[in-house]
Order: sequence, then C-alpha cells, then structure tokens
Amino acid sequence: MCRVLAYLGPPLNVDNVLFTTDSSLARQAYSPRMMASFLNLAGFGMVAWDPDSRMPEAPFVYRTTTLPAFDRNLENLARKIAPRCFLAHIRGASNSPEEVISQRNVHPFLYSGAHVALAHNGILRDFGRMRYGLLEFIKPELAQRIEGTTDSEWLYALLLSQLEDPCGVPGPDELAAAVAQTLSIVRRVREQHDIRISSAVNLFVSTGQCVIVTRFSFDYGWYPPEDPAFLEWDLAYLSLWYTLGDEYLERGGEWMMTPAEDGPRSLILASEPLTKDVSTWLEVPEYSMLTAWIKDDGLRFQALDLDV
Amino acid sequence: MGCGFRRLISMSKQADAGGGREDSTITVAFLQQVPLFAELTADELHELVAVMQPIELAPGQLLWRQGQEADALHLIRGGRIGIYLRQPGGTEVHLTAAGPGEVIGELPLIAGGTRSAAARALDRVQLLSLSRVDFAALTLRRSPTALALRRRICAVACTRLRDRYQQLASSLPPGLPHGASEPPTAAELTESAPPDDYLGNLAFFRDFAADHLRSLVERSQLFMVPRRRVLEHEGDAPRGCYITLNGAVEMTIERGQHRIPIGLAGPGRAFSYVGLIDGKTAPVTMRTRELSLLLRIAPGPFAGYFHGATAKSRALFDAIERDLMGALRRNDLGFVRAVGTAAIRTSAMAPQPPAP
Repeated sequence: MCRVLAYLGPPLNVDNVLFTTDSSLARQAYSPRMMASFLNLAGFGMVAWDPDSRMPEAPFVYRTTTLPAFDRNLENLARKIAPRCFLAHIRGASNSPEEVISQRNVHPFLYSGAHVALAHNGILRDFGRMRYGLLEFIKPELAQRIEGTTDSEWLYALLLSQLEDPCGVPGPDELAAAVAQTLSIVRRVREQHDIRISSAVNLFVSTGQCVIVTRFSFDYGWYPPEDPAFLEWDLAYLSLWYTLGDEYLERGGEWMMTPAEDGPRSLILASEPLTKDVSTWLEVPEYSMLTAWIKDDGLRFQALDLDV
Repeated sequence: MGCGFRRLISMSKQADAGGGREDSTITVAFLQQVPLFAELTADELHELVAVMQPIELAPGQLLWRQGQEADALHLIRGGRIGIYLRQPGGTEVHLTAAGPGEVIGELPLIAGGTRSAAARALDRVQLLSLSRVDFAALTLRRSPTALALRRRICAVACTRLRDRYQQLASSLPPGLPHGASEPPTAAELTESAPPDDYLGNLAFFRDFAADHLRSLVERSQLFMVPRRRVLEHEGDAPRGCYITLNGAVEMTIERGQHRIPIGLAGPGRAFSYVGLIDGKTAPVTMRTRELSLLLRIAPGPFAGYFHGATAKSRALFDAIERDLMGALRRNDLGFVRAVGTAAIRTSAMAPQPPAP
C-alpha cells in the first residue's frame, strides 16, 4: 500500500511535513509505523497549489520514481515552497514482476487542463476482471487519456467523468457527490463481476480550494483463503489520521497544531500521523468521507458516513 | 537484570521509610480499602506489596506526560493528582482529579501503550507504584494474585468504557436509536468455518492451541449475516459474545438522527462481551457494515471460559482482555476530541449509479 498526505491552510513549508518531523512522509516510505510488512518504494508525487505563484490556478506538479530520502532535488525544493494546499503520495507496490514502476503510475493524477487531482491508497482486487466494466461510466475523451497501468488512474478518470465539467473547478458539494458516485459505480461493477475480496479505497482528492478524503473499503474482511499474504497486508483497515488547528509548527521540540482561537485554519490528513506521539492526532472513522474547504473566515470541515 | 535492579530499589526505599513486615501490613490494610484490590486475599496483597514502590511528588511535579510510554499503575496514598489532556492545537483540558485510595493508570498494566493524558501532582502526593515489569513477572508464573487482579482490571475497564460512551452520548441531542435490533436467526446459521490456519492468523485466536480453537468453534454458533443489519441496540440484554471471522461490524452511539462511530470489529475482533462481564445491558449499537461471518459464544459457555482456570479458558480470557484493552485505548485516544470535531452525521452518502 501507499502513504499519502494532504494539507489545506495557511502557507506551510513542505519540508516540515515531508522531511522534518520524526515520522515524516519521506520516512514513512522505508519505515512506516502502521503497516505490517511493506515498503513504499515505487515513486513519489506531489501536487501543490500556491495562490501567490505565477498562474495560481495551475498547481505545481512533481513526480519521480526516486525515493524521497535519496532525492536531493526534492529536499532542496521542499525547503523553498510553502503552498496553501497540497497532496503528496509515496507509492507502494507489491513485490511482483507484474508491477510497472513508472512516472505514469505515480500519484497524484492530474490530467492536463483538469483542476481535480487524485491520489489513492489501496487496491481494487481482481481489477483486471472488472476494468472494462468501468468503461461505460467513463467519458470517452477521458478514457483515451488513461496511460498508466494502475487501478488508481481508472478511479481518477471515473471520478472526473462524474463531474458536470471534468475540466472545471467543482465546489466541495459537487466534488463530494462525485466521489460517492464513483465508489457506488465501482461497487456495482464489482458485483456484476462477482468480485468480493477486500479492496481498500482511501482517496485523497483536491482542487486546491478543498480537500476530500475517504477511508473506505469494499468487502472489508473477506480474503481468498488460498493466499495468506492477503492477511498480512489487508487484515487491518487502512489507516487514515488527521489533525486540525491554527498552524502546524514546532514548539518546545515537538511538532503540533497550535490552538485555533477562532476556529481551525489548518488541516493535515495523512495515512499515519507525522509524529511518533499520536496524541494530538485523530483517526478518521472507517467508512467515512471528510470534506474540508476554505472560506473567507477560515476552514470548514465536515465528516459524513459513507454508505455506498 | 532490569527487573532485579528495580526490585532492589523498591526494597531499599521501603527500608529507608522504616519498612519491613510491619510497614507491609499497614500497606495491606490500606490496599484492602481500595476497590481494585478488594477481592484479593491478605497473602495475595502481601505478594503485591512486596513489589510496589513508594513515590513522592512535590506540588506541580509531573507523574507522566501525555504520549509517554505507560509503565506502571499508581495508587494514591495521600494528596491529589490532576489529569490533563492536550488537544490538537495545544490547548490543555483538565479532565479530572484523583485522591487518596484511588488508582490511576491501571489499564496500561495489562495493555501497555502510551499515556492518553498527562498526570500532575496538585499538592504533595504519596503514591505506591506497581510496574508492568513486576506485574508481568507475577503473571508469567501464573500467580492467582495476578489473575484475580486482571479480572478486576477488566471490570474496571468495562466501567471506564461505559463512562466514555456516556460522555460521548451526552454530546449528542437526546433521542434513542430507531427500530428494533435483529439478532442472527437460525436461517443464518452456517457450517462453513474458515480453515484452521486462517483462524490461527486472527488476533483473537493468536494464543489458542489448535485443539482449543477447534473445541471453541464446535461449542459456538456460526452465522452469516447480511450488510446493514442492527445486531444489537444500546440497552439490549446481552445475547452472547461475537467474534468477527470475516466482514465487519460497526459500533456506534446513536441518538435520533445523530451517531458517533466508536469502532469497527473486523476479522479477529470480538464484540458484545461488555454486558456479559459486568451483567449490564449493551452499551453501544452494533451494525454489520459488510456481509459478516460471525462466531457467537452463548452467555453460559462464555461465563465458563471467562471465569475458568483451565488452559482453554485462560486463552479466551487473554483474548477478551486484549480486545477490551484495545477498545479502551482507542476510545481514550479520541473521545474528548471526537465530541468536538468528528461526530458523524447520519445522513449517509449513498447515491445510485447513473445509467451509462
């Protein structure tokens, strides 16, 4: 599986969360604390929005198959940029010759001209059997743009297809409805193909103005009995945590959200907390969707049960 | 080596304090007044006192900080300890205060983990401390003292869980859950148990010998229950202890249209046993989130296992104890903050897929 991070709030130096904290995203690539036996070695990607940059509506995009811990360019860059919203993803892939390690498979996905980015932690089991069943729900012009080999990119094309304008900037309500619709379609196609194996779909979706995440699984708790490796990887519901407050910064040697006197301004969502001390982090409930968006007077935050 | 060193310090401190058998007897008399130790015999209490260390704190001194590894139980002999929770954002909430005769940090004695809140002396405080290492030594040699204390701690954990749920419920508008629960029916009974090696991989059965596991499955019932089924409502009489083998069952607190998800019992997690331990009604509502294969141990056999002294019953006791401590730790971690930030609205996102 993968490790993912989303941020929404005042400008935050990317270095703080990618490299500095004691359980930073870069560290989670080789030393995840909430995964039993898996390394995340298949690439790193980031999409970051900075309203003060040139062409602010177009995010900065970085993708590489190099690991962040060995990526000097990323380290230098992370010290310089301080976006107001970003998605970062470290890709995990199974130890199989079938896996394709390529920039085309690195998340977050963001098609040229589109304004919605998506990163995925999880896997749609038996995807080969159901892949073409999804085609009828994907707009042809988007289906033509799928160039990688991952189930995640198909989820991305499917999500964009649920938007009135796939290249527009949807508001939080429209985007949340599209995410739920996407999952509903996947469930229907899985049932049509009699696929009933645990498949996690933790999605991180953003337009730069809002962030939506899901902590979700189809048929959680069902595994093919002939494959014991499943138990190792899939037994636990994939983790997802968040912390919110005023600003994320270091105080007295500890990284934390500072108190929000007039409502929260910052939100971090991550596959696992960025510090070993998890006491100021909250676990996102299973089967739920969190939506956060920026208003003039601060950050709005909503959690919904996801029953698709 | 570490254990012996700690013991030496403990005995030395008792000697400095004018210890010996007389001091131990005074301490035993004190322990007998403490509900957690009330059911232990005088001999068992002497055994416990021999490994407890006296500690003194000055006013304002920190006993432990939030997030620190939990390594001991503390019994307050004099003074008061304040418990403080640091929330996301750094603000600190004074949760409660404990005084003479009260025990704090008893659950990590079994469960370990980290402290979910900070503890600080409000005035000059005298404590008796029982370390996890010393308690583990008692447990390993199957001391009846340790087993009796573990059962008491399980009862305390049940009370603590109910308190937590009550606090969460009080954050919601009044109202009761809708409709009646539908426990598994005879029509949902199934013979198809998963293979032994699958069961052996599940956390609940981790310490079961193969023959004990087979015997437990034979003495229980297996049900295949569809999605979205309320197996038990808060306030229902307990019908048995369930263990999820496949699928998932969600625990929630529900009031009218509002609900708070408490946790998920996926494969290898047990549920609905709190009422069987403390003799009260179900503290939360249980609903299947997936098609679920469930093992149900009826109340009679459950009591036999839970209070028994055989190797077979000890395996089940250990598994329930682990599950209970895990449930409590998860709730301790999030309960206050969950009230303010993540009460999940009942209105579900459940769209129908459009026609292609």
